[in-house]
Amino acid sequence: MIYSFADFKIEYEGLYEQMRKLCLDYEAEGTPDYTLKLTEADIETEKQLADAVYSDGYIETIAFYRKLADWLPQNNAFVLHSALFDIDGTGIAFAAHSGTGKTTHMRLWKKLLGERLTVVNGDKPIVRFFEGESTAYGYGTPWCGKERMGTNTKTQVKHICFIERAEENSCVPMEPSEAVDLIFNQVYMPKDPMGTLATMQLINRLINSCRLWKIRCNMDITAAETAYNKIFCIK
Amino acid sequence: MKLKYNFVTNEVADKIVAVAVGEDLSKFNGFIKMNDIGAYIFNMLKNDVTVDDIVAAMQKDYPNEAEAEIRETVEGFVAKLKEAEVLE
Repeated sequence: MIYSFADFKIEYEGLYEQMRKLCLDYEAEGTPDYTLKLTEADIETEKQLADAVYSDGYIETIAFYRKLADWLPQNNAFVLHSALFDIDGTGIAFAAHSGTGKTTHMRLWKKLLGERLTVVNGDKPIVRFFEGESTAYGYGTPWCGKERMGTNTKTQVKHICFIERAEENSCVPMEPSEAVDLIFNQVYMPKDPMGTLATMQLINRLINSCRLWKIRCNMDITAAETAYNKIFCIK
Repeated sequence: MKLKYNFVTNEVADKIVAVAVGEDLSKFNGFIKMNDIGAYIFNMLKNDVTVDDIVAAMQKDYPNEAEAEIRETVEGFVAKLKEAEVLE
């Protein structure tokens, strides 16, 4: 079976039904860029890393994404833990530790903007750079969080917002140097040294090609209004 | 003393960032952010060296800096690496 993830053609013969169902929208045709094979050792490692006992079918899906994430950096792409959405062709990624409320805050933006906002990937989009283009693209994938918010589409990643909970809403621009810690905490790092180095170079490229924001927000719709107005320069 | 793990370093924004690689990534699953001087010291610590070795090397490469200042910088940075538990 050939799948298309982030415009890469990936050949993979699944072991369990869960993988096929998960990736139904991403089935494709063509010559593979990469033939991904999972070994028993990969499955075993994933079981050890898991925070609970899961079915073999589920383990296969996460082992697959890890192996894909290991391959991506040397092909100018990586997995960014964030909620990514598109507004009229502008991609915005909300990055934060799990449980901070990035999905909640994205839902508030959806409430504010309705059909103008498309959720690309609610949890683990692939970010990819292309030769000759300064702006990265962020992609939907089947791995999009427990809420399963995502679309098989892409957007140009123009803003990265680091989310923090606060009583009072604010949205302030950040310099790339202020974002180093925050972005590193949200990027999947391959074990392979060449992959690690490539990922670090891609992180550098990303934070220098986007506008960066610190959003402090409560759970009210005014949080979305404050951040949206600031990012889109609406007085 | 020397670094416990294998790291790769790269410039990110205006910092040098070091990340452990290979099996060491699961032992030190974080990153170290430093300036140019930190990176100089960090690089020396890939081999087994003493504070005196680092100070002596820096005196050659930074001839305008006083030895006491260099020593303070090296000891401060080494202390931070010890705190992060990345030194043998």
